[in-house]
Amino acid sequence: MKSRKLNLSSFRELGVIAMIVIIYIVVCIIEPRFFSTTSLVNILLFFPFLLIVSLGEMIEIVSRNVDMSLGAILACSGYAAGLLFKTNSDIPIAAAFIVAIALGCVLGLINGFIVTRFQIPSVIVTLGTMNIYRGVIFILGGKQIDNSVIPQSLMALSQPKESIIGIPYSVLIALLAAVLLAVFLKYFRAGREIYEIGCNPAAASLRGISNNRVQMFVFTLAGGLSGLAGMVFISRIGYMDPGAAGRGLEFTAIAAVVIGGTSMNGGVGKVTGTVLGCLLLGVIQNAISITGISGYWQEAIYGIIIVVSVIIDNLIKNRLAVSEAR
Amino acid sequence: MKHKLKINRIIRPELTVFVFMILSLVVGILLSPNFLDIRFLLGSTIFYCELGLMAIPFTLLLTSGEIDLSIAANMSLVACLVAVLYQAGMSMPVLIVIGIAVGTLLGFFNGLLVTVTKLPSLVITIGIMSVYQGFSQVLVGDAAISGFPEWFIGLDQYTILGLIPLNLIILIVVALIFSFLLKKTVWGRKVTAIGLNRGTALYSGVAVEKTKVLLFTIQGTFCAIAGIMTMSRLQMAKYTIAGDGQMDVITMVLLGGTAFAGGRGSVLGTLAAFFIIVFIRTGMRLALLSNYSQMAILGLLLIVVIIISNGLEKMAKKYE
Amino acid sequence: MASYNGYFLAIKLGPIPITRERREILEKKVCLLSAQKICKSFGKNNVLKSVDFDLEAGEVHALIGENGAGKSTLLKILFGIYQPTSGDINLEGKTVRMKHPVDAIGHGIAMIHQEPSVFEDLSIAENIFTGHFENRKIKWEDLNRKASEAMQEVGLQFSPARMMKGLSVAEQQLIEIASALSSDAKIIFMDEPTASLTPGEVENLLALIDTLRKKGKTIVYISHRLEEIKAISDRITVLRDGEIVGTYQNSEITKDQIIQKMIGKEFRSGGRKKENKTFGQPFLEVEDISIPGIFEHVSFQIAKGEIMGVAGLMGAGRTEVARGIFGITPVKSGQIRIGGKEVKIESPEAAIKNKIALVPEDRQGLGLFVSEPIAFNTTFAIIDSIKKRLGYIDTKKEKKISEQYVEGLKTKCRSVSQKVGDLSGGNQQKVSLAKWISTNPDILILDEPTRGIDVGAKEEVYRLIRKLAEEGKCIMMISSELNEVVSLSDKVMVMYEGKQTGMLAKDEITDVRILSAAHDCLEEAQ
Repeated sequence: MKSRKLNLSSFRELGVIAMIVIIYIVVCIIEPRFFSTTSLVNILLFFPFLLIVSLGEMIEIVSRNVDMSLGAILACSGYAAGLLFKTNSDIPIAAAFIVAIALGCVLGLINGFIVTRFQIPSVIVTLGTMNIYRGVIFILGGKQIDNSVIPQSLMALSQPKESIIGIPYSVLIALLAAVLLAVFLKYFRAGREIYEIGCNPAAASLRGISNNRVQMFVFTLAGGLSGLAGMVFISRIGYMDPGAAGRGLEFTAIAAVVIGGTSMNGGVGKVTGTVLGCLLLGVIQNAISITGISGYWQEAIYGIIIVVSVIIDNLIKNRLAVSEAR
Repeated sequence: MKHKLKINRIIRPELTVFVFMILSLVVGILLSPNFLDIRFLLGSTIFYCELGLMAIPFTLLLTSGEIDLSIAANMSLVACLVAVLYQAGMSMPVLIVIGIAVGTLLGFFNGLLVTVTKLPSLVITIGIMSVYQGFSQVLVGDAAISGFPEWFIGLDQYTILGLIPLNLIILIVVALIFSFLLKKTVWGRKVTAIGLNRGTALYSGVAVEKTKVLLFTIQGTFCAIAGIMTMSRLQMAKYTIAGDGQMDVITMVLLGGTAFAGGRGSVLGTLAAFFIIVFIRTGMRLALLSNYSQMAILGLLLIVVIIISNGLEKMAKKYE
Repeated sequence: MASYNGYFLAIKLGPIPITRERREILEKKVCLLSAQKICKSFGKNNVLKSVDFDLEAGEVHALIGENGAGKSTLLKILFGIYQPTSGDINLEGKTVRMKHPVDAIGHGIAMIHQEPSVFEDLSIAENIFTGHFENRKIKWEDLNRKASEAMQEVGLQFSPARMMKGLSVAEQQLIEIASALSSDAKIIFMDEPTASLTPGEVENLLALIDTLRKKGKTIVYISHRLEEIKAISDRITVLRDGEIVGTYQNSEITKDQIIQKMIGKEFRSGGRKKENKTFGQPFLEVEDISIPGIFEHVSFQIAKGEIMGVAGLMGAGRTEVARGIFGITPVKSGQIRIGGKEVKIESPEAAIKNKIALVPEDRQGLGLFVSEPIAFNTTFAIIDSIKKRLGYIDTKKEKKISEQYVEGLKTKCRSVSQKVGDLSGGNQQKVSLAKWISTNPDILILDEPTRGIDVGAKEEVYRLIRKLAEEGKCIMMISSELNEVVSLSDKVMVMYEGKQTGMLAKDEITDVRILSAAHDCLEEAQ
């Protein structure tokens, strides 16, 4: 029984890997151009800011929350960094990173405070703060930050040519964030607490873990990650349109997280799964553009894959339950 | 005891929203003398009537403990389909019927998917939203299709007594019917019961799954109607025609005092929230605030109203 | 499950002898933890009325009392889950405040809850150490090794990396005890740990408790099973209606005396005279129904006016049979005939149309809408019959019907607009019964009709069941209370692991035969 169980649970990730490989091979056959380092880099370039936001969304879902405001936090943080560059072009990039991440943390903390203090479902709170955060940018001016303002050195982070090993630094930043988060979630008490409150909040409370404290932490961390994603976003896109930046990104992130095997019921989820989920979406996006399928299909295909993978995930879970009952 | 009972009756979740409605009207009047012009005020409702129309069945859906994030996508898909088929030479009256049928079918499909897979509708309909949105893009691309027949466009221009827009009348009538259904009828009680406790409802012989599928289906019908009304008002159709409409609808319904977890819903609350949104948006437009600033204030309002009504509920409990 | 396992233990286990070393420790009578004048009320409901309680180092102290006597509440206060309305807690002579379980854990107290509170999707090792990881950083190798050691102490041998999911309730409970041991708890509270264990598992647990006390742990043990308590405890405290009746040395008091003190009046056998009634044609005939993997080949007949008791251990498939007949999980094969006509019941709606009613065991989760008024609940199953035109609900009629039932069943409430959640367990059960009786069913299935209600209310429910039978209803009563099954039933069906292992006629109904069949050893007993 034990071996079967192992097979089935790892099947979840194997399934995503298999889908990535199959789509990749099929597209390579249809369009040999796909089989090139450029397209690989393109796939990778698609996913840095999505991955970073997805990591935040993942820990939220693991702790039984959903965050709709991560895209807005991305926009806020990116915009703040942009303003910084605009007022002082000599400002070091590192400082901008710190400002963006700090702002993200604060906005996340506000979410967490409202959710825990007033015990309102996180979906509602973040639906509200999503509008508030984006709105605040516009109340503060809200003009697009142009390409000319963004320092070259920041944009270089997303250029393969500028990297010594050929993989853009922004991709490495995202992967580094993923690795750090994975280590934190596995090897640190504070990381485990996120799973514990997600798995059984009442039991966690009886063991002396404050659900509120952990949730506040999760919201703050997710906010901080979105702040980081804001910087990566500017470096990749090259400008900052506060209205459009990160709009709807939450949904894509939720999709990536769910495809990666994180359970919407909380307590279950892996960083590797989320990385694979993002990668799958990246492959699909690039496959669509390179095979000449109209870009308009992209969203529909995304949606179908989300729905199908959620259903498959559920089927596997049911199978698992049955195999355990026997 | 009588005294306590009264307090309980006054302190209700919907109370906050009515207070805010009056408050927003007062603020609006203070901001702009235009607010005293009833014709202007009623006229400004037409921009939101379609969303309001979707929010009415949405109130029931949420009361039963389900949510449908794909409503705006359904709305644009219907609009785009009708537009494309019209371009292909079909006649508009037939297309209206087809459009409503398609929207209904899409809603029915959502309901089926949710009840068969037994997955949280929040998750399923996020995916469905992308699918529908994607199909509208596939249908029309970036184009805005226009050139509809004369009789079809400008539904919003019709008024009763030259004062009340037809769309608003439709909205209010639908709201009254659904309010009656939810609060006074057996069916409405069953809908509430499903949201309160699915298990007990099932054990009491309520056809839980069928009721849910029906609610999703009705939602689909109203999405289609809203889609066609929007086409008529804007005189064109494109894939962004509904925007992020689901967000406005959810805001409206939650603002109106319906519980996110189900089991408590108020259609009249939703209607009041509709007016709040109209007043605030109109007021802010007059004050030349951008769309995004308006969204920010609505977002803030959503959170504040829920905090206050939660607080009131606790207070009501204490009085018991 | 209360009685069954207990009876078996009485046969198998005598009191565990006290060793000399332990006697020495106990004779020192070092007061470890004490509570003075603890009062607790929920709203207007006084659950604990000035309770004094003291715990001596090294003892196993049993708490016993009827449901609602305040046993669990007392432990929850001592563990910091509830805050007392007034009163003090002393730990080793110092006054302490338990504001949260964290404080109690910090003082070396651990609690094993009635329902295991575990993290199903996390590993066993993590389940053991959550709440008391040694460092911020976790060394899984160390932790897994320590988890294995902790599991050894409670006699389990799983891989520490295994997920908690799929473990039996008993195993989960042992993991919780392992967790308590690994946290170096001096005092362990156990709140009905045997409530859902099989007899073998109960024996293991009692043996483990004996080992623990030999190691010098102090244990507070709540159970409804006198046999367990007599076997394991050093002292026994009896609670009644939120007050302490007394604390006794185990050797000083007999089971009958304990029962007397719990109930506060003479112990009644509770039975009715065994009159031989004759019934007419079978009305409900169930033939060879199965849901593969859940229950198989179940057949029985009930005539009008007849009460069929259904006995068996928890998980024997009794509730599932009821759910099958009621159409919640429809049966896959076999026949159900009502009044001679074959019926197909695929949904609860169909069951209700066929005049079947099911009063589920889980009142709050499946029986009632606790946040709604009595009237809403009473009429919910017949709501279709009190509508006027356009589906409009006749609220006057609704109120009238509800008031009739409140009066008829003597439900204690302020008015029918009171929320059901505010009523006591017994009164909630009355509303749940009213809801189903109002459908005027021919066939009434009752699943644990007296679970969690007090003695007085139990008697009323028994009277009601008899009255309904006299009115000519077929009654199928699932119950884990042996004396209830024995005294009420006209026949008893017994189940064991999804199989029907006995069908006892009126004159065959005895404790021993039911229990034998419930453990699938009927032949041995005969």
